[in-house]
Amino acid sequence: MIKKSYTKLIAALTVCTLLLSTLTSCWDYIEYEELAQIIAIGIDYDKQTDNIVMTLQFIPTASSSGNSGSEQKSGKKGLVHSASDSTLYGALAELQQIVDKNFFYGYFKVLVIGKDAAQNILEPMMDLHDRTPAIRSSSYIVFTPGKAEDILSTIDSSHSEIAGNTLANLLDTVSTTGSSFPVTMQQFLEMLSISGLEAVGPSAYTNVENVEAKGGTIDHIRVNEQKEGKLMVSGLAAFKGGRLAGWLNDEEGMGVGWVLGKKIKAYKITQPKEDGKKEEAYFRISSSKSKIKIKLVNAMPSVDINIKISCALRKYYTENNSEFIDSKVIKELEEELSKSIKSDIEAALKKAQKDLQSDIFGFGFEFYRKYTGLWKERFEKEWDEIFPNIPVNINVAVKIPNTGTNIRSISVK
Amino acid sequence: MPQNVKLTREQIYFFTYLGIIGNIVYTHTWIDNDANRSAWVATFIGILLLIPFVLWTLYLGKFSPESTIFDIIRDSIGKFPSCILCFIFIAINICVAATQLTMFTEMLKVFVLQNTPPIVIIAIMIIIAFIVVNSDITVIGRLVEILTVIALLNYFSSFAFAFPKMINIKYIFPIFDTSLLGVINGIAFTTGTTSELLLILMMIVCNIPEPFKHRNWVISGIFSSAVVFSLAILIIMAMLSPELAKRIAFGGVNSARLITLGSSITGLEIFVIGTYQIIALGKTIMSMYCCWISFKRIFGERKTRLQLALAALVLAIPSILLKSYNSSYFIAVFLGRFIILPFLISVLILASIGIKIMKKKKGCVLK
Amino acid sequence: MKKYEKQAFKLTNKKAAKKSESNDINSNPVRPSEAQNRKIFTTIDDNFGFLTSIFGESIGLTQTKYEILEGKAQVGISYMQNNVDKNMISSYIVKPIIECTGDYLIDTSNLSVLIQSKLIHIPDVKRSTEMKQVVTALLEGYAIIFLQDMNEALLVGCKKADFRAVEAPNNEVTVLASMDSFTEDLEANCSMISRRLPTPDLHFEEYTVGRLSNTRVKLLWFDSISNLKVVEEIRKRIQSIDIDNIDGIGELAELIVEKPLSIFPKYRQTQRPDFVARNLTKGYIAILCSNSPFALIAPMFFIDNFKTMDDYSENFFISSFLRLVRVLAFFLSTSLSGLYVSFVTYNQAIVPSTLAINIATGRDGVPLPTIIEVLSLSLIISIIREASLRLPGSVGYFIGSLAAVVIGQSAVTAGYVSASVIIVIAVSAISSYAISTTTMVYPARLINYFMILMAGTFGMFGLINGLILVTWHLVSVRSFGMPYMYPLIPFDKEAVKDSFIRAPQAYTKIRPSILVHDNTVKTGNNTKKN
Repeated sequence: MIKKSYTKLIAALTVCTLLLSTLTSCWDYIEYEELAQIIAIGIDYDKQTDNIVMTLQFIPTASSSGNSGSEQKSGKKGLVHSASDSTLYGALAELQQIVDKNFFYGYFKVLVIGKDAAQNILEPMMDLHDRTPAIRSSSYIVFTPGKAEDILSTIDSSHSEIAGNTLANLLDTVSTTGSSFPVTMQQFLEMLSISGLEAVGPSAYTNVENVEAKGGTIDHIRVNEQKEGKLMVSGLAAFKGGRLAGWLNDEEGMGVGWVLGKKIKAYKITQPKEDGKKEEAYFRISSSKSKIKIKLVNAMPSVDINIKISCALRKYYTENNSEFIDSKVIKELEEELSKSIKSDIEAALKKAQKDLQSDIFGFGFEFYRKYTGLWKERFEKEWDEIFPNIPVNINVAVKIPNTGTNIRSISVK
Repeated sequence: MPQNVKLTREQIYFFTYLGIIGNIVYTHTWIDNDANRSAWVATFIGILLLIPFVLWTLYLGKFSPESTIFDIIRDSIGKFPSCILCFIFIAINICVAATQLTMFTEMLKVFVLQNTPPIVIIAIMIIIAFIVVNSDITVIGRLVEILTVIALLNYFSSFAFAFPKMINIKYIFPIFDTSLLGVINGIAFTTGTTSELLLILMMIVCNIPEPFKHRNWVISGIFSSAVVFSLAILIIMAMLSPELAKRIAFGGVNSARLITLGSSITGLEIFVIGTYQIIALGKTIMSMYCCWISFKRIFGERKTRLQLALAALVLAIPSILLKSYNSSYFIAVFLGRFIILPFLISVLILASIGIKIMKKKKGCVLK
Repeated sequence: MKKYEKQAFKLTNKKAAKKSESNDINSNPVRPSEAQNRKIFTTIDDNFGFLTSIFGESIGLTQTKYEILEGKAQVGISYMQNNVDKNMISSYIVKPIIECTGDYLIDTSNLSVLIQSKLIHIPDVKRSTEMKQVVTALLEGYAIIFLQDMNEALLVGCKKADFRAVEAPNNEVTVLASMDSFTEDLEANCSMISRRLPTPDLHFEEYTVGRLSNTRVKLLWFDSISNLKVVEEIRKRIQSIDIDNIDGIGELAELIVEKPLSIFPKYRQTQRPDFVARNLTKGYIAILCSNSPFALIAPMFFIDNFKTMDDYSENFFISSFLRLVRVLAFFLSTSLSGLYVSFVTYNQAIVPSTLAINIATGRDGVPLPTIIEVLSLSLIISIIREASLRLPGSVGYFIGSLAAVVIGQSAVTAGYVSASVIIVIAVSAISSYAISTTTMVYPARLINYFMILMAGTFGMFGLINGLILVTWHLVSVRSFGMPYMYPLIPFDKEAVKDSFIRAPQAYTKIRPSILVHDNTVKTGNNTKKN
């Protein structure tokens, strides 16, 4: 009996000592004020010096105001630091040398990639961001024809919001214009790795250029002076393989959006009528669906795009019309609108097939889904040559379920 | 130590769940290269293919209701072969548990606790497993029951936020886009890896009341875990695309990182890590229990607590020495492909031969 | 040491010497426990003298002799002044004895029968020949009638009942159920229960425990329903108690509950007779003891902590919702602080970014690390609770709210703690009182401290390990032989209907099977399902 109690005691003591030794140093214990919350990262590439410029924008979490307990929403300007080095991690290390807090990527929102970087170093950059466990793949990715540094140093003049937050908000609301759509890093990676689909991403513009350094530079590391300006997200950047191929403007971007079935709740205007009266009807799109069908015609693929649009009338023709808007009139309107949408898509197709020669619509992927064997044998390798010449049939079916609050226009007497 | 304590139906059901889902939560990406979009179908069929072996084990358990399979071999063929088999059994259990613990520890280090030394994490898991195995099998059964329910609820409630925005139907169809050979490869690998279930089943067959009559309990457990696991793989494939799903190291956790609901609900992978922690702990408990029972068979019934401590130590040391995720990944794949199932089949064959010998000796039909 | 020992030895020796010196009863002070084996003396004077020597002069022992039947016989009545109802003695014992005439043909051998059957107007009369019973009876409030020249005495019960009146329960307050509670009188308590269950199936068994306190303990159960093995087990344990004093049901419980002790309560103490009656019909077993206004219900399951009597008086939707609220309160009180610590220091990514900025602003200038803040505030809340329990009446309320406001607000303004910690600690403290039994408050807070420590060292990993350890502990606890997590593990579909939710009466026809041995169906088939 005595032996039993001793072994129990010894076992309990061993367990306690082992467990207590873990309490001595909590290795991963980090307090909030030691973190620098990184909101956005911008990556630029300098072709002459072969250097990567990395820009970080973060919010320091300790706002050292005297009265704690009251919220001070102003003064939440983030800080923007840039550093340049020949590798990505080199630049990051240089940045850590001047920022006195631990980098924390938990609230990371936007990755901005400049034009040169997208053309030259996209693949290594993607692998880095994919493998790093800290950066979440659900954050947005944005491309810019200028420099990423400029975008991040732009403060929106209307409500003093830092660039990272502005970009994220713009990307959330971009579906109301329809000229672009948000792409997360995860979706971008999917588009890169799926065969038969090329990647697209939203493009952002700014009117800020040549940012100055606040307080000089050490060793190419500097704190950027944030300037007031304007940011805009419109259009798309298209890729071929792993390289930037070109830019799509508003109309073409909308066309791509129609074909890919993206959520567009924009306003749409019909073309002016041919009799030169310059009358347009305005519509508000409420839902759009698209279906891509691939057929084999003479052993070559041919594509049918069927688009279903549902919208509501917002402005009717104002001249000499105070009749009821009945189904005949609605049918006319539907046809006008479908022509307008079709022209968008044709513009996008032309750009993608002729200029960029990059299959951003995913025709190859649809082909793979339907004719898996043929794709693997032959078409996968030849798709780059076949794609520019694929005949495409576009059918747009528009439905106008209601005409706003009025069933008849006012007539001015 | 009375071994006649019987487990209830729910406990057997959840034991099979936890027995099947072990190393495969990490290594299921091995078959994605061969089976591509039909990985989930291959997993489903692969797990169902375990059923004949399970039935075989339960049928053997009918003949000697108070002892494990190894006891049958000991009673019929002799102590020496059964000792050798026990040693190999212990070695396999050590490998399974060590790879599981190392992979879980490295996953924690990647996502959450970057600076904590892995020895601390492994030590804590082993200590908790020791405390649990110290009580008797009923407590283990009840604990496994409630923890598996919590783990499953955890896992699927995190993924409930993913519907419908992130599931992309296009990634699922067409299903059979690879060759038949690839699918068969996938099925074979899955059956091999999930036959860890038989490791624990051979030990607790004496605790199941009337094993062969209640085979439905185990079979329903296998069926539902096949459904659950292949559903999980299907969801992962639909959220990422199959091309991306091939490359991930940690199954559900990678895909749970993508789930956001607005800007407020992010970071749900913590809960999925909780599920993985419960799975790792459950497998450690089962392996420790198997090692302990085998030690008791080899060394006799004296000083059982000391033998348990020895089992814990023997499990802990390889996990600490094995410091790399990638080597444990490949060791687990190797175990699953070539070692576990052949060993178990040979044990079952020997046990059947043993039954026949015993029947001949006794000259009557054993019920 | 040795000197003291020698002196003590001398004293005891003196006493023993004294004892053996004279056999005269009256010159030897005899301790009451030594009255064990004596029989009643024949003469009344001897009896009186013996009793005086045992009890001494100051305890209030009153002894008088009377001559009855016109001098034909003598009786002596002794009683304790403080324990008896003097009116009963004078009206129903002394008066009839003195006033009876000698017309009866008497035979002195029949005197005790005569007095018992014809003269005393109190039905509670016992005859005894043992001095031990006389002594016990005197202490319990009986009046003793000694008969001259007979070795017998009559013990007449005329106890003074001066117990507290029946009031509303102050610990378990309900809104819609009955509002009587137990008092310190064992008989009254038992009558409250048997008034609710007037069937002969309800069995009572009485035991006496405690060498000095002689506490009467009653065991109640339904013979046709309860599991007789459990009853037998409890009976054995009560009979094996060997202690000197039992103050109340809590001490009794600690002696009969099985080891190892756990922080969770293995029995339930209640003040309400309707609750006891309900549990008895489900198959539980109740224990009552004298001088304690609480009853003990055994065995107990974890889910019983969340049940109150109000659940059965209200609509089942509402009661199910309230039960779920209590379970949620339990989880909040155990893990909210741990979750806060883990989310703020280890897994910051899960907190939404605007909330994160608010928390960070609140932590401005706070000197303590988060885990120390949380721990110290929890301790302070426990101290406040203890303080407000001991303060009398209105002062208690005032001090309680003052402390909360002062400590909370000023601490935040002075910069000792951050505001979010106060909210978290306050919510978790309040939720721990929302669980329906007060005995569950402290286990919940203890687990809370444990979880804070685990979360503070390893974040979510530690929290889940803590959860696993607590679950393991819950699963391995046995209460009187029954597994503690009963309706869930081992799973019993019928009993689950009255655990986290309360299914309507029509759906719960079957009693929990682990507690009953036979009579499992409790409602007939005519109960309408709706």
